[in-house]
Amino acid sequence: MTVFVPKRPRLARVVGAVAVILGLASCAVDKAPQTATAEASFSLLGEPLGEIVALRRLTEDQYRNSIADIFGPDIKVAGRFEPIVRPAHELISTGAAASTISPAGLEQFDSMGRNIAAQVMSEPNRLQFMSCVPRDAAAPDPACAAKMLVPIGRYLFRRPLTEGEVASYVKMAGDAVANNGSFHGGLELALGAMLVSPQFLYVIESAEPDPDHAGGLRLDSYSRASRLSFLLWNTTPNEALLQAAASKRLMDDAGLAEMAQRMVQSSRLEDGVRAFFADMLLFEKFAEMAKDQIVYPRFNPDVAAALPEQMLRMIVDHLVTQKGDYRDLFTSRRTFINRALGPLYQVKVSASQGWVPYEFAPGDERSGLLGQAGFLALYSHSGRSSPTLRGRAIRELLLCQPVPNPPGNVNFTAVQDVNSKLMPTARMRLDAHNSDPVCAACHKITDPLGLPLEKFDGIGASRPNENGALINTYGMFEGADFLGNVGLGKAMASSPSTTECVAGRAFQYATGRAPDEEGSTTTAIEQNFATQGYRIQALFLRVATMPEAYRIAPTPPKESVVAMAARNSSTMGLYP
Amino acid sequence: MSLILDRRTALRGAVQGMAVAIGLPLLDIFLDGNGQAMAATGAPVPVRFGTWFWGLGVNPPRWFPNKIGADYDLKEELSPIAPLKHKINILGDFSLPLDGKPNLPHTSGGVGIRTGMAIASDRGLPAPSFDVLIGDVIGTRTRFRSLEVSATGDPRNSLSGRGNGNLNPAEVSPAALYARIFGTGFRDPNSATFTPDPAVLARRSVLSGVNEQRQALEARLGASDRQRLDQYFTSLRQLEKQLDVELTKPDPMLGCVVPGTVPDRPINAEIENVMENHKIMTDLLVMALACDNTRVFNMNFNNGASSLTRIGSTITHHQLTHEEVLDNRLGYQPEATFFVNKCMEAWVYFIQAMDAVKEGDGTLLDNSLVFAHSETEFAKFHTIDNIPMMTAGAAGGRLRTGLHVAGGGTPVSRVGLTLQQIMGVPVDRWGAESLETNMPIRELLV
Amino acid sequence: MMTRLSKGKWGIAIAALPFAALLPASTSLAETSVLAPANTALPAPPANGEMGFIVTHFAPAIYQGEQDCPDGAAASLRETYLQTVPASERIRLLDKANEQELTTRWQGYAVGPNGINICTHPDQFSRPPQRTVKGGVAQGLNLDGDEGAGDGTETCGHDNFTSPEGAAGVDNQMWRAMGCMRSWRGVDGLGGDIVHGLTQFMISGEHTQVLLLRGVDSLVNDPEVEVVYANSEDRAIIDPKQNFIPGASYTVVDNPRHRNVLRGRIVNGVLTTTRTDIRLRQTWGQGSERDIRGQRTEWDLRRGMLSLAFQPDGSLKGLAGGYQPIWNVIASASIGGVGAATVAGYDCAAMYATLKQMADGDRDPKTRQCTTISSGLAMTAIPAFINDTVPGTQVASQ
Repeated sequence: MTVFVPKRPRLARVVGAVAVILGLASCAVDKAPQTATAEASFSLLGEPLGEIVALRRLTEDQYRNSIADIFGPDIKVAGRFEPIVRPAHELISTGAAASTISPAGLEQFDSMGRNIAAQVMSEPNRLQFMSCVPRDAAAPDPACAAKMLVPIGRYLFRRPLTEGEVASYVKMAGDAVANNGSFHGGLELALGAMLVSPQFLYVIESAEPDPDHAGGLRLDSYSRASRLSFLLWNTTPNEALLQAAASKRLMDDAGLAEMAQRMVQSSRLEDGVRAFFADMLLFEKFAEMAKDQIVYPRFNPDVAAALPEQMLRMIVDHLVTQKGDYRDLFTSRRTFINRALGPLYQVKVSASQGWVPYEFAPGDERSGLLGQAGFLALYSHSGRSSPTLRGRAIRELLLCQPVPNPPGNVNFTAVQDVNSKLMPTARMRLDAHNSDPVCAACHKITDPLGLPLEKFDGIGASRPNENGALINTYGMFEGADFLGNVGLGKAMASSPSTTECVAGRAFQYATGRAPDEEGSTTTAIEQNFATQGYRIQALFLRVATMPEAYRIAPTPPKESVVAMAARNSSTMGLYP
Repeated sequence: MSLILDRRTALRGAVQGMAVAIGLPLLDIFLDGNGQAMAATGAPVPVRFGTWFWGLGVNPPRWFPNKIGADYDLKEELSPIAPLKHKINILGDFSLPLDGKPNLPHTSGGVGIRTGMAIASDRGLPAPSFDVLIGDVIGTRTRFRSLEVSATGDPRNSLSGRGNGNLNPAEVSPAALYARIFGTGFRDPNSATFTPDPAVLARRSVLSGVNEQRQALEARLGASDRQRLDQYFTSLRQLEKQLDVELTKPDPMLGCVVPGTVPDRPINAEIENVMENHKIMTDLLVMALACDNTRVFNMNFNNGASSLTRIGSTITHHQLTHEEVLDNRLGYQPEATFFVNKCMEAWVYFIQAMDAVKEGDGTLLDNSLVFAHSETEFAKFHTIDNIPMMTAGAAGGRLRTGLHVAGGGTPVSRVGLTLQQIMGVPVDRWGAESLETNMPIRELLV
Repeated sequence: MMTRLSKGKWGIAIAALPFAALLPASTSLAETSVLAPANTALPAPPANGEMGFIVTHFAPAIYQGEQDCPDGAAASLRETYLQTVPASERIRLLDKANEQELTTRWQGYAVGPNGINICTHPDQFSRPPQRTVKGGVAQGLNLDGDEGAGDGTETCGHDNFTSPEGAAGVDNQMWRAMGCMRSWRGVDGLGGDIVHGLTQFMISGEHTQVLLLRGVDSLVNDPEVEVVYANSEDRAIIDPKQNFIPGASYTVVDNPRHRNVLRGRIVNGVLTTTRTDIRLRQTWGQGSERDIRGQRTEWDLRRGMLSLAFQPDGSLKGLAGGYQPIWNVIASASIGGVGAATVAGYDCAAMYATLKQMADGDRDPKTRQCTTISSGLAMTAIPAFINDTVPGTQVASQ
């Protein structure tokens, strides 16, 4: 049996019964061993729980990260996650705030939960989580059961359990002994019940009256801890955060800022940034990407797996590791490569195993996020490139400018005839297609951003020509014209829409709701982003600490689609 | 009724004239409208899973259909399946990348399909075979977690096991198989007694505990979130109902008829004898399923390096694949192909036997998922990409059928992943190294 | 009824089989010829003069001349055995009713005293040689620099072949000895099992060969080119149809023994290297630790050379040649042991006797027997990126 060396310290480990107190003064919140203080772990919630203002279903990654952090990475999570539906033009994280759990989905969660509980309670694993020995292994022992369930429940529910909850889970554990005759079997069932409970499967944000805004509410202390943790590190709150929540330090601006600042400086911000961009750039589509084996024999499963990872590595390296300017993400020549991707890029890969940094030569057409094969392949058809899909993705995902769907009765014959002798290039075919003014109206929005990328084929490999014809990479954006991917990257980097978009998305990602309609929140975030040199740390810090993000309007917030779309459609109006 | 009569005829033949009385009236009154569930309890008919293995592949150009998708064409070697084609899927063009590990002839292919791992050395299964993982989910409440059978006389002719070299040995004797299933310990599904599973009872009470938290949560909720939470608790209620069904005495199994005893028979690899033993053991296995004494099985027709022979010849099927010159005009080896045809004939017997048992308004086959596969594509060259595979049955409506699916060179572990998911194994990712996949074959999912 | 061999032995037997080739008939012969590009212009080499390649095919060069085997293919062990019994007995044994007896007998003919068998110990059996190639045309290179019989102090006399293109003095006694075996020769333009098997090993990544050319100034004529011919630990990157993908990266092995540095020149688009001992790793596939399968052997091409033509599509096609120790030629069958004889029907003792008779290189001064055999191997390679970790100044062992 393989023994894993845990990369992450597990939260719920009990070392003796005495634990080291981890003060907030510690400069490495994330690195010190996360051992609970006896007092904190075993305390119960002293006050009543507040009004629920949001229920956000854990994403698959958040679930997996939580289990790894709480029980250790050797506990396997096996099962299918009911996907969270992405609302049109929005983030999965906003979808999570409206997500329900179907019977089939709950069956999976139940089965996963029982499986995890069985692993945790198996010998010898359980010794790490138990600080007591039952008087009789075949009889109920409420005191010992509570000693295990109370601290674990605090991590799973992201707050101390209430007295009623403790009583309920301890009773479950005890009742089960009657059926299965084992104290540990009873604990396993109670733990499984916690894992299928809505308190675990949903990040429950609750609120308390806001003393600064009469009649309004603000997120309470433990909800703030969860907010910071899932936003910045994409995982469950650790001991330091739960203690800060207990001491109410997260309720005042300075305390909140201090904690957020420290978390943003941590390397674990990578997990948060990865999750954010995977959400913003619709990475779930990679799972369904299929390429025609005859047209693209070079595209194999290894390549498919490497494409999203390459993009995320590039993004995280530039934004987090190098602390780079977000705008430079569109012009940077630095990326990462592995052997599987070498043939696609036709470059020498210096390592036999794993990923290595790679820098394209100055002037190489391959630069910036849009020059990554993953982006180019994802926004292509299975057997050909698509300037329209690429242009649309740039508009919608990177500029936050939704593009209308094509009407239902379009004749695509001209665009699809990729072997046409008369019209050898995509530009020519699209021109023919756009002789219909109905089509042209939308293609004017998308194609000038997609056609500059035509020197990359449907899997994102370079091609000097199409059907033997030269490729014209002329493009236009916000009144400026340019050539090719390099020109497009520069145009993207210099557009305010680019930075506004990511700033708005970050707010939406943090709160599960769109910035307010007047746009003052966005403007404030954007201005702060600008003065901080468009650093992702500054942006994440801002959305993690801005008071607006924690304030709950007296009336329940409306669905967010309207706000985003309204703001964007005015921007769209600039383009004929 | 005609299907039942066929069944009886087949059984009688199988046990060499010792007629078996199969005279139960059809109690259709117990079945509800759609036939999927029993009226009395709402309990679904059990869904079974099994594998049917044959060694040494096929002649790919003479076996694989040209047409992808529904209404696929039947070439010469696949033509015997014609009567049940609509219940069969053909799976081809999947790859078995070895990540630099050796291609152990007649071993790497079968083991790779079953475990999702390229085997490093010839030391038995490196990981659990997926039929065992499915058995862990659907096979825990029957008398046998699974039954393994081999028709060629070698108990090690099995691709089922828990890994670390463990192998579930196959039963090779029809008489012994009869004794094992219908001898002492046979559990008659139609008997009067019923004991609820204590583990299910415990789970049932725990779910009630979770449900009891509803009030405390709802007290804190606004209207819109209340609706979403309602849906969570509706789902929870559904889960409780499923357990309630398990805690209720199941309905009678109408197809279950205990066959008469089976005489001792020769056990060897001579093809006609193998065909006969396979028939008898198929009939016994089918009744073990119809009587719900097992829900999982592994039938191995011949072994990977097939030792099948013909009367009057000592050259084995395996030797033929290597020695016999590939007839460049025919495009195949005629002598070796004789055995390929025999394998397909046996396969069709097997699924027809399952299809002859009526359950609800469908058949035992409809309520089962049988996965048939070989261990090579074309034995002469030991190729392991594009190994021929099939499924038969609809897994109680969870699987689309009548399709030819081409994998486009994607890893063959997708098949194992898909079948596990269909059978309810909580797995989203399966296989190792290049065989690791999280992409089920969507065409097959209902 | 069954032949009673344990499961393990079956496995071994199969391991020994080199698997048959299915080359498209139209290309198999062309691929194994040195084809100087006629009028097609070759591109200029890269500015730094470095060109990398991954070898995609490396196997005995096949040429199916019509008159090569006038008496038929080399006999299988069963056929060989039948020739050892009187005609009347042969007729009796061939009766269907006596099939089992015949099988027992011919399979017994594979085994000698103390349980040794003809494939593991072919040198300890005295059996007649097998049918050899009688034709005058075959693929290969002039390895001894001589267009005559080549009998000398270092070499043994042999009949040269003429190449399909008409070049005289081709030394390929390996083909002379083995070219009438079905598993080598193949039929109808298709190479035999050995060709397919060796290609399969490269595709599966059991061993990988790379070429790195340095100092290339012109693909047409260049008097001085350095050629690193080496193994790589990196597996081939292939597409789902098992074709090598061009432009993949490979790193040269650390072991200097399998990094050969050759001196070459390009004349009229053909790169030819001067004769140097070439050693490359070779795996007979199908291996595991427990049994004798998967043994690593070596390509040991003494005074070996390459002759590769640049193709307009960027690939290299041509021949490799050298003198191989005769054991290496039947390594696959020897490793396979008795199974190679009883399952595949190989008469390894006849193969060994023939190779010994045909050997034409490295004459043992004491026994006067030649110990190596001239061999022609077909080779193709496509562009790749090669990381050469060993300092470029190192020279291969001479």
